[in-house]
Amino acid sequence: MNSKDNRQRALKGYVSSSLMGLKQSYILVTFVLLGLFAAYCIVNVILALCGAMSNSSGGALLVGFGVAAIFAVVTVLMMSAGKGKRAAFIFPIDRKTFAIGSFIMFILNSAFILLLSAVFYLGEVIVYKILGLIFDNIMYINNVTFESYITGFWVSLFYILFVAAITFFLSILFSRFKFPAVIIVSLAIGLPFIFPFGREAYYKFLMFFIGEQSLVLICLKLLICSMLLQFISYLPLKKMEVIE
Amino acid sequence: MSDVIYCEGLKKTYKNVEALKDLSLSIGENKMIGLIGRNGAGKTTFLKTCAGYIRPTSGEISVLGGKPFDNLDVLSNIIFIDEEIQYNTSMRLGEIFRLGAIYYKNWDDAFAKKLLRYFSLDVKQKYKKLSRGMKTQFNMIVGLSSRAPLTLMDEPTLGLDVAVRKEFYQIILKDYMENPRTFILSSHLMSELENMLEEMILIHEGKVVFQKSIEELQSYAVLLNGKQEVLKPFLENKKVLNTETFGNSIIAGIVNDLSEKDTLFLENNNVDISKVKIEDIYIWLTKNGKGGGFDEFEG
Repeated sequence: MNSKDNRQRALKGYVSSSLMGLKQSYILVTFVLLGLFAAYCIVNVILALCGAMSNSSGGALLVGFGVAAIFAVVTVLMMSAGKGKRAAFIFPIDRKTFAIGSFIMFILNSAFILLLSAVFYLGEVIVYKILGLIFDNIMYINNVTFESYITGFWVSLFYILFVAAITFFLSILFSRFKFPAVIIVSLAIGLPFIFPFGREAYYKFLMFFIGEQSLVLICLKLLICSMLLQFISYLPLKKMEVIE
Repeated sequence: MSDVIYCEGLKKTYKNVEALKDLSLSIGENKMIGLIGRNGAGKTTFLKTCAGYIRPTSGEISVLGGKPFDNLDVLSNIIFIDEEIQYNTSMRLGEIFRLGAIYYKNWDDAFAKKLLRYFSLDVKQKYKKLSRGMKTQFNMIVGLSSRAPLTLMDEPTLGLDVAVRKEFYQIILKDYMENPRTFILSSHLMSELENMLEEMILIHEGKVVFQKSIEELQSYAVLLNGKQEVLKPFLENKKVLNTETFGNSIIAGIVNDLSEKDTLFLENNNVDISKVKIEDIYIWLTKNGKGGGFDEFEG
């Protein structure tokens, strides 16, 4: 038996089936972003008509990041829930393929929404340019450069990846160990807040990411932590049965 | 010939329920096997264990030379079709075929599409919009088109009318002849499947009661019909599977170990000897003391 070939086929199959399965979600999220973008444009036209000065610096990108984060959490929950797992294991995959394939899907999902936001951001720039030609009181301040966009894209991608990996970890933990997992995780999260050292630990944890000045290092930290979380999620998955 | 499935002392316990108890069997290559047993006998648990869905509690299981649970090299050569299959709700039939072609190296796309057309289904139809019978048909098409060396089908014809069932039996048989591989079909409709199977395995209360070829099964038991005063003493030394009395007559199903002397005795005493349907053997062997029917049940 050719193990490498089997692994490649299983991984390709799992990612393809996830993409096909999420097709409707992609359409839905595109319409959500489109709706938000339309609402944003309408508000700015109204403001301009009312004589208010309006400015923006990449609002669509911020909205896109928020939507991508929510989308990542929702899709991870869909993939790791009982129904999602059963659908995945209809075809010949093993638990390792499921964990690796899910991780690839986190990246693809986040990248899709972030790139979609970039398209809407371009739309935002064009709309402002047009509004600027029509209304004198429109002033558009664009702080986003190509370099800052690329940097923002990668940092956003890794943050969303990290959020997706945490969600996947918690979802697998809950689905595998049910109530005891809820209690242990709740205690692990809640108890440290009682003590000053716990609060300090939380602060240090946050600063480990958001306090990082180097963009390369923050991306690296987020990637490594996400991969680590995914590996930890794989451990309870290893003995998971596919029960209807 | 190597074994496609080999089990020794296989056990599976769900909380406090023992679904498989010390199950042992071996299944050879390229065979058409029927898996029979009553509801809750352990058939589905056994098939799911073979398909790597569940992990045995204890005992040994080897499928295509390896343990099936979480073993990609084994799983890549197995397809498990049951009524609970739920593809992603937004998927179209054509998309599921595309996935089949990715996952299964021997996937026969032309055959899949031909079958789809034959059963008046369309690649653009969404799986969730199909009726129960159409879903069953589609699942069977996927199962056959995968050309997996081990094809496991749990109640594959559930929800199909008799005409479609017969068409599928013919298609399975023809496909099996042209592309030999191991099929295990679990079904309650054994009389329909009997003619296409090579072997039958009866599972009862988590154990294998018998594993026999169809020829062996067809001669496994005989039905004796005669007067009570002749048959009652005769049956004392026989392995009786079932008896029914009608006035002064008795109809008894016994294990066919009749000697020439026995046959001569029965013939001389006007006892009618006839064949027993496999389905009846299965019912008698699994009756749990309730074989007399509801009227005689005192529980």
